[in-house]
Amino acid sequence: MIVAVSILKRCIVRIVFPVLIIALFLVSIVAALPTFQVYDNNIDSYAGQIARDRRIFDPYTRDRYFGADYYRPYQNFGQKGPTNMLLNTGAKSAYSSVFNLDTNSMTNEGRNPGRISNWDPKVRGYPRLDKSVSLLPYDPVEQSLAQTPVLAQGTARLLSIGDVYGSGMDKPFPQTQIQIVLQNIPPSDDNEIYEAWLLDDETGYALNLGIMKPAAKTTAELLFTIPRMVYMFEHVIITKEPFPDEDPRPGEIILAGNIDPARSQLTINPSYFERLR
Amino acid sequence: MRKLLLTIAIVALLSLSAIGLETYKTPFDFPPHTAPRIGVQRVTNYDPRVNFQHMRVVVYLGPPGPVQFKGAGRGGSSAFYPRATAEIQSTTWYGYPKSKVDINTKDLTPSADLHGVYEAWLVDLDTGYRNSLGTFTAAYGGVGELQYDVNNYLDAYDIIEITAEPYDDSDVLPGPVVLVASIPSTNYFNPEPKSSKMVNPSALSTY
Repeated sequence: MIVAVSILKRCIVRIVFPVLIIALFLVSIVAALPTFQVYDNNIDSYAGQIARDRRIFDPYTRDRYFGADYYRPYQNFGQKGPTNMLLNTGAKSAYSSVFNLDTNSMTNEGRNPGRISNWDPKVRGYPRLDKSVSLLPYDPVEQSLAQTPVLAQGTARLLSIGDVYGSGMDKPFPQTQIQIVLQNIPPSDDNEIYEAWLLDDETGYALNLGIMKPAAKTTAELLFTIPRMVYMFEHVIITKEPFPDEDPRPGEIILAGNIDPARSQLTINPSYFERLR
Repeated sequence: MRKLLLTIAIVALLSLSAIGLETYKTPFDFPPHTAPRIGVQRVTNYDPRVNFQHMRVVVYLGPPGPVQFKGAGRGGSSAFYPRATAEIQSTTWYGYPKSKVDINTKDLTPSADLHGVYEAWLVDLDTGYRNSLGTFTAAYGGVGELQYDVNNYLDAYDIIEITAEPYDDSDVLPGPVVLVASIPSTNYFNPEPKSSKMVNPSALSTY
């Protein structure tokens, strides 16, 4: 009896265990073989071993989504109108919301007065005002530089970005940058200085932009940024002020220029529709 | 006896220094020449006129009239009222004057409820001129901020104001005043120069 048990034990240890281990090994190999090359269907990862393998063994990933027989339907090609399925979309981009004009003209109609357009410049995605203003003498005086008659002049550039609704800058912080360059301005004394302003016609209000120290006696420049919109102003003026000045109001006007409104600019006051609560 | 005399002599010699203790000053009693001499002993050649006249004040803005409290709010126990802090800096300098106004508000009516924005102003009472510093919106909690930088000096202004304006306001004139504070007047030390010290005494006429 004892001999039989020991033979059985030896048999288990020497034959059954190795066979079991080899069988387990073979089964695991066979089970792993089908998924050896591509063993995932995860299309979300773009890095790691899974994505690397997928790129190597299955580079034509679109077949996974559409199948090998898929071809792109040749419809709605080159049309700006809505697609045949989604009637409330079409020609969508960052600059226009929905193309639902009652025109499907593909040609640029330019100045055609019969052109139908529902474009509203106030609802552009990027509200900005970019104006260059020529500044000329308000009271022309005879000036000469090295026996050559010269004209005092200047240029102002107004650049507004953003509005109080938050469009354009993602935040409701409108910013206006004003850059002014003057040349051939009449030389000033040490206790006089030039000052730049925006002037509103309706109220006569002048918004101070800062003082401009003549750099080489006859030229001056200014770079000023203010957190507001300035489309309501009509003129840029340059005045001569005493220094130091107790009176913050504008003095004698030296140069002036008109901010011409653009054709496409809507001049209706939106606050007519929206009042303070 | 000899030992006694010697001891007395040594003690006498050693005690000689005690005579001068009242008036003797160690080197530690004398400050080095770099130590500041303060008070009336201070000698200075500082002339404030060599510096540019600089102003830096912080003013606290409050409502111009009585406040109607809307309630304590959720879980709050103290009544809140609109308020703001404005830091005003100004340098009077012919070459490159620099001025700066930083405004931070709290508990203003939020812009979404007001249906409008806020505009900050500096007001000169003598001439009635108002300088617009820009517009800003107030978020919930009445939190808003405005930074204004300009190449100018702001000495002339007496009052800082915040007004309520409609959205997209094409009227440049101010709306109802929401917050107001007076700016302390600048008190620059600007003495008359001595004609004997001037290279060109005729330049005095400019002062």
